[in-house]
Amino acid sequence: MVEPLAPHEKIWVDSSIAEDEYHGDLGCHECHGGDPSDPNWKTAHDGVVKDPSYPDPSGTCGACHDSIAENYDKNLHVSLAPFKKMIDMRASDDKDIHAKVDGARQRHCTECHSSCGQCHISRPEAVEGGLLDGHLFQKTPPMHTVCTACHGSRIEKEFLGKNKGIPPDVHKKKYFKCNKCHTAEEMHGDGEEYANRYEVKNGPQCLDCHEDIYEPQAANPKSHWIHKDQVSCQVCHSMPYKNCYSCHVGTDKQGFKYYKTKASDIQFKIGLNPLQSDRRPEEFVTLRHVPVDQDTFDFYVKDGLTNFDQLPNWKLTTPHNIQRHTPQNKTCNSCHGKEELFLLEKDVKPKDQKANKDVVVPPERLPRKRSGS
Amino acid sequence: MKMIKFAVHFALALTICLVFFWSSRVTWSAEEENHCFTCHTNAGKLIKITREIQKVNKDKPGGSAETEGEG
Repeated sequence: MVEPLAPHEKIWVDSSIAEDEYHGDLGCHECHGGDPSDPNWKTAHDGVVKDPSYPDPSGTCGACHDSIAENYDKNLHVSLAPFKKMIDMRASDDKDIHAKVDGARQRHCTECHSSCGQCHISRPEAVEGGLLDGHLFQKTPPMHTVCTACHGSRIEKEFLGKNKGIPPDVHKKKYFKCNKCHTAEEMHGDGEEYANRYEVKNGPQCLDCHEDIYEPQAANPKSHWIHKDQVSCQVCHSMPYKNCYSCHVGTDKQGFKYYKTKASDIQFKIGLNPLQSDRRPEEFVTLRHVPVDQDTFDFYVKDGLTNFDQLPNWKLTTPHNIQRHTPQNKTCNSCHGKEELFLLEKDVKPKDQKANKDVVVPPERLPRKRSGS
Repeated sequence: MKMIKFAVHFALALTICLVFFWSSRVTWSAEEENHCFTCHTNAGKLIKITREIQKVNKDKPGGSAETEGEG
């Protein structure tokens, strides 16, 4: 977790911003409003907009960076559209109840968005904000204070090896930062309205770099050919990862919103691919338990998610703790016949059985132990 | 000769205009100090102001104490 900035550090501006060839001529008030001629800081801040790039960047960043800003609304980091879609699908068909669920979603699940400013100028608001490097514009958002500041409990801990006993991702050991795989083009969106991040066309794929794994001269072409389109890369190459359970939200006596999740655990589970597509044709993928629960929004409305079974809460995941050698890829029988690696009916709570029926591996589809391996 | 005289007068007028315009701009900048910039680039001032704000807000909780677990 990234250390928060002191209050004055959050708003300190490096005077060398005036030398910025592109932004140095802009007056503060041109983007933020307020009155630069007023020496009284209290009144000078009347009408000041902290993040002028959210929710509409067209008059600020978009005035010059128009080709990026035109995709802003459909950018998943801004819109968080899949959240709404998933909750809508699980919500009750009753209009009044549905509206209450949507209200709770808007109150609790729309905070973790980003914006132009909250990647390139400041830390994201969801992690208490604060200017990055004194408001000097960051072409590439810094990993620790931006990307993993939000993607902390799962991605950061996996990638940096902060989960006890599990080494950092092999790409981290090679000094990769997030942007090595997640390009600016992917982050800015391409104007398409995607249902989830796994559909994003310019999202990273292992084969973008490891294109030669099927070649005869590659390290292990036979294994790669045998499993091609059968299992995802992560099934063989990721280590155990974090799973969270039972998220509940509400408002406390003082009017503050709260979030509660029960214990999280480190597990590794292979299941059936819930999002099979041309892009992800594999039958077996790694699955992660996500914290949504039947009564997540019970504080606001009872039985809000009566269609909970529409979607699994064991979801396709691509853990960021990749290793070349893992316990499950040592030999064929390190995986084949190892029931404990697979999501079986007994691993799923009785109340979640229906929701996860399409991802649980039935006994007849478990890969059998191989003789002579 | 007339042309040369005209050119000299024109250049003189232009120079006077430029000098006047430049000095008025400088005067304007000095009068219209950008207080956002002078304050936000001064760490000492910011420390003083943020401490004032903290004093005012010291009894106000920043968020719910009921939040628990990982997100």
